[in-house]
Amino acid sequence: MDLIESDRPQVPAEVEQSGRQEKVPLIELQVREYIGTFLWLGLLFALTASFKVPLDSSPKAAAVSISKAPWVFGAIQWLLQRWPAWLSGWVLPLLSMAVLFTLPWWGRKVGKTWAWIIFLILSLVWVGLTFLYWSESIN
Amino acid sequence: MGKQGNNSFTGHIRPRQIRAGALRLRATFCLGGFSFLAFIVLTITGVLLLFYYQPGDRAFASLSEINSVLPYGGFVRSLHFWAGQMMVISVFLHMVRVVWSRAYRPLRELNWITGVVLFGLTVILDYSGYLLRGGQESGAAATVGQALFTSLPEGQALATVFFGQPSPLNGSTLNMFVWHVFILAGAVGFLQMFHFWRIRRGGGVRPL
Repeated sequence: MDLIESDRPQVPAEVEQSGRQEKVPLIELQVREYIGTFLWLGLLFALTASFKVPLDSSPKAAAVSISKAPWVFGAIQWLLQRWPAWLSGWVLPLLSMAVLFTLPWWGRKVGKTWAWIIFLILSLVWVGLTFLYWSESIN
Repeated sequence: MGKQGNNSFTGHIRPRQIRAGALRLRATFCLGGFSFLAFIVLTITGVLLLFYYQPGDRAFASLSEINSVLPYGGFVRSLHFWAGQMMVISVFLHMVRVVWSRAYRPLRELNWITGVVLFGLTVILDYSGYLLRGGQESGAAATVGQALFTSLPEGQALATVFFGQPSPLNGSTLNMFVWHVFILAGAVGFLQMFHFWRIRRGGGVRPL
């Protein structure tokens, strides 16, 4: 998949300007990448060594009443326990995804600051509900 | 590769010289690169788990064996789990950084949309991996997911395509296994390559 410079689309002024910035050899970025990779892998191995991942309850054991979701769906589970499935499981998540998809459009329509505020509120609501579900499930 | 190397895909992704501004940590916080790194770790550990994991009725038993009998099996499984959680978190934080630095603006709009799709797929991958654990918790999570699908018109057929026929005590099915290992992971891998290619085309350097 060759890409020659003439194939490139019209670039905006800011990118054009950045193209005239001082250039440095790629190795300088690579060194930073190696350090970042090393640190990230260190964190991953530390997590793996410190927190053993337990098995679920065996399906052959006596059935226990479980209403549990993986933490990534904790917010939806929290909503499902309170509101109808069509609203909690479909409308609200799909609406949130639609807002995310159209964020560039929001940026043009209402301004970049408001786009950031919309994104922030959306993120805080979902992250907040996830924490709420998680704190309720451990108590 | 010689001179032609600069015009190749590799040369495109890895140019010989880059803008000095790309060296700033605050430019990306390396979050896109960390997400990709998590995907690589997930792929490697996932392939290792594939040698022993059996979806369906044997899911829980095979995971128990991996965990307690196979040398380093528990470690590989833990690594797979934590890399998955770290990928979800780093993709989300990467999105926050992109919005903060307004990197979704024109020329990068398509890449923003690709990124949102990648975020959604990553979350679904995490969920499908949870179901493959094959215990009672995964059965409960599959039941909730199935109930959501069946609340839709023609939802029963969709639920069967995605979930298969899990029991309330075991969420692992062959359908879910195929989605997790081949379809979703394949789509995420392909979209990531497209994402990186668009980053360069939009004037950026590369993921990390």
